[in-house]
Amino acid sequence: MEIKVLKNVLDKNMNQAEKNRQTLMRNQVKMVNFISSPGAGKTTLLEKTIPVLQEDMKVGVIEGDAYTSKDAERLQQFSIPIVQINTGGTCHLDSSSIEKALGELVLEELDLILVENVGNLICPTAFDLGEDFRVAVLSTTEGDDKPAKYPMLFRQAKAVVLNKIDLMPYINFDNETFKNDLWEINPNLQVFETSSTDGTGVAKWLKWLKGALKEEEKRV
Amino acid sequence: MHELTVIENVLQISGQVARDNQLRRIDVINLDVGGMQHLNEEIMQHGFDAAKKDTVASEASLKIFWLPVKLRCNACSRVFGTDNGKFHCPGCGSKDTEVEQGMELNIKSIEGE
Repeated sequence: MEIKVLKNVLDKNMNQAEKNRQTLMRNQVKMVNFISSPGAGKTTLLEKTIPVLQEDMKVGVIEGDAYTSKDAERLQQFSIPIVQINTGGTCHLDSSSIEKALGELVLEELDLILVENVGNLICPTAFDLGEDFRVAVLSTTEGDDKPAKYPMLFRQAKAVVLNKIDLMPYINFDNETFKNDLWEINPNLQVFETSSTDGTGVAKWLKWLKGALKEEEKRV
Repeated sequence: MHELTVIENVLQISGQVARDNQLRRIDVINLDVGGMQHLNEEIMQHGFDAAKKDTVASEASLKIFWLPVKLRCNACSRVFGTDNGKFHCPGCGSKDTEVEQGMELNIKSIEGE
């Protein structure tokens, strides 16, 4: 006997993601999901991003890692609410772990949650967390051929931050090819070139982020 | 790399469908997977063989139908395939295209008694 099912395998995750979305909307909190491979510079970018955003809004962080709370500890300097999720080896955050994290935050006292996903370009892409939008963080040292290898991520992301541009003189990174390949996949992608360590390009990224968050507010 | 999470969900959903339809065992699970989902057949099958033990699908086979990526051009309605990261329309050159096929991750059906 054959029984038609026609159900998305990740239905459960999608349903919880929608519930997270509703919870965030009720409390007027925005959420941005940062996806990158390990070592691209997500945490350093957040170290530069949080103090500027804090000028206008109340920020919280959900930090996802397989193990340790090293990244969360780095962000403690900003005296913001941080929830650390240790996945114990699972390569991505999912909406049910975000649901638990949202339960540990006082949402009435937040305007924005930044989610630093587990370092991985593939797995986190498949799991909607209930975010408003996604930002992919890549670094020049990973090579300029990454866009075509991860079309689903770049198709869904709103922006890409290309980090470690201060190292470009020392490596073979074809910036034009990289950007053209990205825009091939998603012509609407905003691309920011930064060095999170020396601050180059960070102001432009922050200006766009603030604007994008304001736009999301108007959409609601 | 998230194949195991996917397999766990496949077994959970299939098990529920089997219960809802009073199946004593599942023989086949038919899965549609789009080309943009980064999933590996070998890892899926190994994961399935390990995770299905002691379930109603313990003797089942997993049939994966890999769906190629297809895009539709919003400017000229052409439908085309891509496997090289080129998403613009090969006909009119427009970059205004939509993914029509390639993002699927669905249990199509299950077979059993």
